[in-house]
Amino acid sequence: MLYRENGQFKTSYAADQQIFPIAQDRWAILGILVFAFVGIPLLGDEYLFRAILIPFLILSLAALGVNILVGFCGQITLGAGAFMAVGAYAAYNFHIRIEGLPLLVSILLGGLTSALVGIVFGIPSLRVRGLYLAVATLAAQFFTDWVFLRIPWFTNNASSGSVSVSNLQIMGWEIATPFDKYMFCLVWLTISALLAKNMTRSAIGRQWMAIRDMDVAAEVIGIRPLFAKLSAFAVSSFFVGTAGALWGFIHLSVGAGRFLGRSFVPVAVHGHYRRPRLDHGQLLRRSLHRHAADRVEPVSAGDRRTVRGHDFDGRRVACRVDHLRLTDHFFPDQGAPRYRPPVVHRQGKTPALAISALSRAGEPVSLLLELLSQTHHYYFNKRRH
Amino acid sequence: MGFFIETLIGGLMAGMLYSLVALGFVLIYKASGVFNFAQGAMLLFAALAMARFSAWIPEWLGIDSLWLANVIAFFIAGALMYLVAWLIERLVLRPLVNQEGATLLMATLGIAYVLEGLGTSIFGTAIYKIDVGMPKEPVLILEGIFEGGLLINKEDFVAALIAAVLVALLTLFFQKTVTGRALRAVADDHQAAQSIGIPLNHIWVIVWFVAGVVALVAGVIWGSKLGVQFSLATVALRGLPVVILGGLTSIPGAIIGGLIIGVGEKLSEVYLGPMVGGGIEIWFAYQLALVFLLFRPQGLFGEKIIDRV
Amino acid sequence: MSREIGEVILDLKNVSLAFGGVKALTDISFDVREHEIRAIIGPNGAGKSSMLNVINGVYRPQQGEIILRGKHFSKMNPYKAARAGISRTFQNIALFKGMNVIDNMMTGRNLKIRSNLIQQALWWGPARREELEHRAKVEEIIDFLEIQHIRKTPVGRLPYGLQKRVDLGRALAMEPSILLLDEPMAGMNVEEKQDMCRFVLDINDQFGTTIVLIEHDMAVVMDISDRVVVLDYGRKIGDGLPDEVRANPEVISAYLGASH
Repeated sequence: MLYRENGQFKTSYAADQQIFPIAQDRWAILGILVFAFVGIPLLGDEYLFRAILIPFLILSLAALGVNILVGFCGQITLGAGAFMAVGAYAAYNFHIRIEGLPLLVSILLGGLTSALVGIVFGIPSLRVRGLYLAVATLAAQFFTDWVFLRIPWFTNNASSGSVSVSNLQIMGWEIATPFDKYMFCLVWLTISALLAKNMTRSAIGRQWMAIRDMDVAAEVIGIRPLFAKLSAFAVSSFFVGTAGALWGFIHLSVGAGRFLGRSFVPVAVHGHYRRPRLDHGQLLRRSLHRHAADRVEPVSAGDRRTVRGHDFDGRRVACRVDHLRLTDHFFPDQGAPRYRPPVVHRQGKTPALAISALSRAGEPVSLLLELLSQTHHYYFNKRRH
Repeated sequence: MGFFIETLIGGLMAGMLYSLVALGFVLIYKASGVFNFAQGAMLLFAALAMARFSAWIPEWLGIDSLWLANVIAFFIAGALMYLVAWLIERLVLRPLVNQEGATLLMATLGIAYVLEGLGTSIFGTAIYKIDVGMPKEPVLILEGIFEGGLLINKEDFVAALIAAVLVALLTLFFQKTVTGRALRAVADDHQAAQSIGIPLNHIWVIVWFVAGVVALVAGVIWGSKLGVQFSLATVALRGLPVVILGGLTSIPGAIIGGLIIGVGEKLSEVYLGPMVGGGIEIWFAYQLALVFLLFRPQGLFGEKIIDRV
Repeated sequence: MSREIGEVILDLKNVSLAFGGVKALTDISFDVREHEIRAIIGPNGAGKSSMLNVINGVYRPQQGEIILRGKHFSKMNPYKAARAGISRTFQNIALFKGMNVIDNMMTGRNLKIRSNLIQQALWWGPARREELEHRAKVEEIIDFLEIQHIRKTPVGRLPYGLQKRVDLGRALAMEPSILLLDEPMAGMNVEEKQDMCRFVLDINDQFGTTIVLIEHDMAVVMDISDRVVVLDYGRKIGDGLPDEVRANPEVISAYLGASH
């Protein structure tokens, strides 16, 4: 701590209970907000918005949700990816199946659906605790993965399990350019963060923390574990679900493999967030999904095919489809499909994540680390181009 | 009937292999209170080392015997796992003595990344083979009793046997040796164990090394089954439901849990799968574990958690 | 004494509790009158804490019933007990270690919160108003317990004696009609004990709170309690005024191990 609250006297409880009772904190946050709303738009280029800042904001939103459940309510969960997928698919389905539903409402409905699913998958937490619960939440992960891959209705019969929506607008504001998308996500994240903070400093937040710290004592005081735990699951899944919806609508298309599959552990423990890997390979995969989605025929489990598409720079690339899922093995497409070792393989990913995992739980450095690791990739990818 | 029993036996043997993976989790949890998410990465790392060294050694030393090359590679890989254990203790566990479970869990996530990255950058990312002479061809048995006999995969059978032996040895080690007792003490309370003179650092190296060896054995078996490639690390995901079903602290739990999951998985896939479109193995395993947990929240053999106020 | 001891407010009848084969409590009956300080004493393992756990529903007795203000409860649970105005402190301090003193005590106000989750998320109207009201109430208790200087310290960092006081504060924040204290003075030095005695007497005196107290320090028990129950090996071996209990031969033998 570089500064203390010495000399900043409060004369009312209201002043003492504001979000940042210390003046320096208030100024620092204000500074960061101004930088995010004004500074970055002046500095950033399109690649920065699209490939780094937008996913950064969306994943921060997801981390916010996980933080409520894990950090505040103490229910360790590894199922966040599932709720992202639920939110994304639900929002997508509401949007395309109800004519003229505003985008905002679709995203909110996606979040609410995710909250409901969260409550269902939260029920085991009433019996099962700690690490047992953590593993049990993986059940949600694998189950939703399976559901979205196997039931075509959810994906509107898109064969690759990948869906996307075009022509987004909110009250006349067309969200088309990466800059618009960045601003939309930033506003959304800021409001969400404010709501989350309000909850954690109110009675509900104290209920969560009480359950986290000592559940027996909490019950004796008159806190119902059922309500406290399930409300944490609901609120957390709501945020994570809206993050998924944003990811699907704003960032790129939705696909189960995006949230699940190998990068199955987007975890924030005490504010530490490990996001799904976003490396060059994944960017390629996304673009591949978009371009090649309609060219992929359904394949049965165990079947291997090759899919072709374009990467961001318009180069033709190909990728193997393995067990209904695009693999990470990319290679330049030169006509004949043949196996090559993966071109990009998460280089440079390890250090930042290791630091994030190793640093003591409970410190709010995660977002910084997130940014660092993103930037690292930014330069890494630039260098490659 | 014959088909049912065949599925059952297949499930039991697959279950034994899951147990082997689960065992790695249980060992480390039992002995250091750490839920080791890096188990899959350790398995991958060990298998990669084994696969590569068994290919390199004949080149370097000019040995023709595959058997000898495998043995040497196994010991080199074992030594590497010791080095890994030592480094983990030195760089990760020592600074985190007496920290909460969640913190340690996160640390192991970091270890997983480092090991995956290290493994693939040292040994490469192609698909490698491990050939330890496991019999590949299936055999038919009991043809007299069942019509058409039972189709048994010999490879699975050998693997299950190896797993069983390893489990027996580890149980002996934990229950009967002084080191085993020290390990259990450490798991209970780091500080208290230290205060009665148990060399914490040393113990940790031992336990992570033992877990490393288990990972190596599991890696060799799974690797020769599936080929050694990056996705081998996800084999650990098959072990997780086993661990929580059996109880985090119980070696017999890992075995029984593995068998239950193995059988449940195979039977569900064969009999339930076609009704809902197949591919339900993996989530079914988790749901099955979850159902058991609802009745016994500490797993089948886990220590009961009693709240005292 | 200014306060007046009233009617029976809490009556326990033939309570038996066992964990598997271990009998923690066997056929215990006693009553607690309004506004009195009722002590439960007994050697270690006599079942005193189990008794409190039965009263506020943490443990479910196999037999017996609890009559609270004329209402019969065969099964109590902690939430019902809290609603009925029973609060308690814990032998091995059960504070919320990650929260500061104010937040810990604010959790005690939980049952009095009326605003809903949405209002709280928006920090709007009733939610905001309630926060301020309850904060003011909590500050009163902080003043009463003389812990103003630590109000924003995370309780995990406080020394033992202060944690005990915060534990008491959290229980008081519920404005209970019956307060269960599980060894409030264990592990304290003489001054701390004196402070705690003063608080207990003041609570009883000023707020009229009925107090059920477990304590090992005989001098304290005999000084401040109105009536005493003695347990040994899960059985009741004595019940009555402090002087009667002190003279009871069974009690003497349980404590001194002397044979008759």
